[in-house]
Amino acid sequence: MPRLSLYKPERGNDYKFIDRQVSEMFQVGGTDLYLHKYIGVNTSEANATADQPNYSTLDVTNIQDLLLLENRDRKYDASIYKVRGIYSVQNLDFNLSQFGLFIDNDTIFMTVHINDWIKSVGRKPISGDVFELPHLKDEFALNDYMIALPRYFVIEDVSRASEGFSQTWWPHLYRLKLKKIVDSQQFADILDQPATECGTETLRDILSTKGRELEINDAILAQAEADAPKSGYETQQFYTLAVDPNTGKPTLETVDQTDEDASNTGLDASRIHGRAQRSGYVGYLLGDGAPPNGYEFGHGIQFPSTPQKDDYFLRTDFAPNRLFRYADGRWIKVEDSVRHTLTNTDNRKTLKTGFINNTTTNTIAGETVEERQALSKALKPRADL
Amino acid sequence: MQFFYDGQIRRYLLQTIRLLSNFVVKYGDGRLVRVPVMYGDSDRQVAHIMKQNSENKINSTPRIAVYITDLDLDKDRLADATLVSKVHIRERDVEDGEYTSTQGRNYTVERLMPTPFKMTLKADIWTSSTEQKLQLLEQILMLFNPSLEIQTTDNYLDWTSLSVVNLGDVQFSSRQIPVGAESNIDVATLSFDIPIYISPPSKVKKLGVVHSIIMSIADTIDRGGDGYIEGLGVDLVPTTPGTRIIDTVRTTIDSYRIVVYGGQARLLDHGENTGADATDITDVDIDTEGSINWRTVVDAYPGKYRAGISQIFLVQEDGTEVSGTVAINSLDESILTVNWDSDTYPSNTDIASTYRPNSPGTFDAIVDPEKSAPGVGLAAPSVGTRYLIINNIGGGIRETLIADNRSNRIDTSVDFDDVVNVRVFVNNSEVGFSIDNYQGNLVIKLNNIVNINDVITYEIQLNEDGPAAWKNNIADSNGSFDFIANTNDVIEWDGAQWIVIFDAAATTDTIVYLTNIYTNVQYKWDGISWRKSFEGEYPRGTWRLEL
Repeated sequence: MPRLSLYKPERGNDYKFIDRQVSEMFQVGGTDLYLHKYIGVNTSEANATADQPNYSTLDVTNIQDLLLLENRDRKYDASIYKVRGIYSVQNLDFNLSQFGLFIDNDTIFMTVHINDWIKSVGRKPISGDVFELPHLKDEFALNDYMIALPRYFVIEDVSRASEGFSQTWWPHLYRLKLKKIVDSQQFADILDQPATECGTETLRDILSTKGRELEINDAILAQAEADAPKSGYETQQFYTLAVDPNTGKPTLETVDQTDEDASNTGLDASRIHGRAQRSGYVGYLLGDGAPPNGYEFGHGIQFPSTPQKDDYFLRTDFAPNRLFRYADGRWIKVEDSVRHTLTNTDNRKTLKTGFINNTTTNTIAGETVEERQALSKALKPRADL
Repeated sequence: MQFFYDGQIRRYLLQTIRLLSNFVVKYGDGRLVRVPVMYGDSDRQVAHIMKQNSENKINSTPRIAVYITDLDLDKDRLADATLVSKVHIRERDVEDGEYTSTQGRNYTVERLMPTPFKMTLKADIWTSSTEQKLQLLEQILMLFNPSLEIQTTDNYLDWTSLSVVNLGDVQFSSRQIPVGAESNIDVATLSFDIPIYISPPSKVKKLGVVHSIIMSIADTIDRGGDGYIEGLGVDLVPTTPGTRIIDTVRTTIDSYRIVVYGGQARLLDHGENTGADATDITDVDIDTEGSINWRTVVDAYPGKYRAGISQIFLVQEDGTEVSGTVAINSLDESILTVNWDSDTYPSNTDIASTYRPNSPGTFDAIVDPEKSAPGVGLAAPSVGTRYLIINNIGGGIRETLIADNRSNRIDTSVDFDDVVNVRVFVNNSEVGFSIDNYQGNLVIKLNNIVNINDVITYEIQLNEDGPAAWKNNIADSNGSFDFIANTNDVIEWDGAQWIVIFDAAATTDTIVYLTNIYTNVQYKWDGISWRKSFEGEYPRGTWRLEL
């Protein structure tokens, strides 16, 4: 008679018996878990480099960034798997941080039945798999949606649960360390999914704080732009007195004067004063490309052919735009339009941002070349083949 | 202390958040995702509201949070705390809510020296991957070389609005390596310091540019004990050094003189003569052909010209000002139409009289005694009736002189043989005398010697009959009914006889204002002639506009 031993090198009937009991226990006492199965990383051949290769097939073992060792663009199975799990529910404490409220003890340890998992999912759980716990849905959140807010967790670590080892020494349970997901690049594939079957809102729309944060950011920007719409200082509301440069006295110019040219259609019959030759206000960044006192002015890429004295014209082909005044048979520079928005817009063109917000293309020897190129890549030798 | 809050530090926060806003990260599928930037020290309730009061709501990353860590007085940038900077601003006019091309209101803004502070902020950048962090840092850090300008306002008057954000420490990660059992969120921190100012409120006033400079030159010569001035002798008017004004130079914003006549004023060009006949008190005949447009002056003055509301002020010799509202004549802009404010006219000079106690600073009419008299164009006088006469009255001579030495002898040029009666008054009191014939002319010898500066008036009735209409009802001390008065005198009827109550010849150094009740026009006696009280030419510095 062989010596008595519960351990056997093979998974025998004892193991199977116990495993069925454990499975039944999860079926009876466990909760449903909706699994978003991680299936690999999204890569593209166009952006592929040696340290960020393109993979022809989706595989959970692929690594997206071989330098930084990150899988950022994770791909999840469109199918959702239902498994059972058991964990200890715990009270939550909110932690108010600079980025909003976090949950301090949001780590939970979930146990799942190994064989049931493998049978259902087809592989072992790995870090990056995402769960929804349907029993934690919040039906009474302060949202305008007609749907309850689900709670999602991501598996951080997987091991075999110590309590899952039976008398036969064979394991029956996985212990999953779960944390709440955040609205990040890693889970974009899940959060891009529609929240409801017929709705247009995505899970991100209802779950993430991002939308509200962007609204707040926009409101802050709106106020900042109201305070200082452009760099420099606004002087358009100020009046510049036209004075005779020789006498310093105000110049008057009325249409009843004999030297006015009646054919000058640009002459304002109600005009009393001569036109100021430039703004009377000086300082840092005052040029806005507009004449003083709100005088009308033309703009374009070439001067008008029949200008009148003291006509203003903005040349838009100059960078920055340049305002001219016509006098004594020539166009005299008045100012450059140097005031720009202080907001980081896509068309802001200061000296620095002019290098960034640049969509110009140049045709060089018949080839169209984008003007903006990374310094590390500009004019590198091209492959012959 | 009254409440004042302008949200100045708040605006620095706004602009700092602005400069960190609108950065994006790129996902692997090519989409660009904007990174929200918010203040990092939120209210707990607001944080719950953002989470929709649910623990299921998930935070988003990447995120940037900005918050203040320090605010210290920057002693190195302290400046004169009492400095008040003034800025003069002309505003464009507004019509129907839009700016026009004409001049509007004008202002002077006074700004007190603000207090410098150094504000330190941190920007925490939470990313979900190192690649995201690198993307953001590359975009943000490139802008600082080493600082970035920000502006809290674009107000031309706000001298504190421009500042710079200096990039300080960059903490690449809040994590430690090795990470360990818990993977906390990864936060990179940028430290910024911003030199800022906190300003008190400014003072916005009506434009207060200097438009008139009066420079007086005073006598500062020390004459010594005996008042002797080297080379000049003894000053006839001894004064304390520094108190006597020798000369006054007035410089105005435009240096124009004006001439005021009737209800109008006109600018005089340099060297231009007014053509006014100063001796004609009934009318001033002035060349009214103006050549200088009033707008050349109005525009240079502070304020916005408003027809019928803007005012002109004329400085009188006694320092008072006569004012009136003005409007530029739309048909001839060289003429300023003035509606004078009679309340600002100089006060009438009271000429005391028991017969006219209620209105001692007026007279009833200007009369030419050669053309009009009581019963001849004029009503019979009542007690207290006063006239200003513009021709002599009577068959005699009435002279007034001021004694410049102690004497009792008055030599006249009157033919002794023509003299009928003589009356002499010293300081308005009739005195005794005798007469003599000296080489055919009348000589009056007073019984007593007069003192220097005594006012001596003598009436000489000649051997001719005065106008009957101006004769008195009672005889004088010599038994004559003739009344004698001179041009520019003011005479009063006491019920029985006419009395000279204002002797023009005796009033040479006093300005006298009297109002003609007949026309309600005030006249001024300047020692030589009567003029309308404030009409005439005003040199630069003696008039001004209040727009």
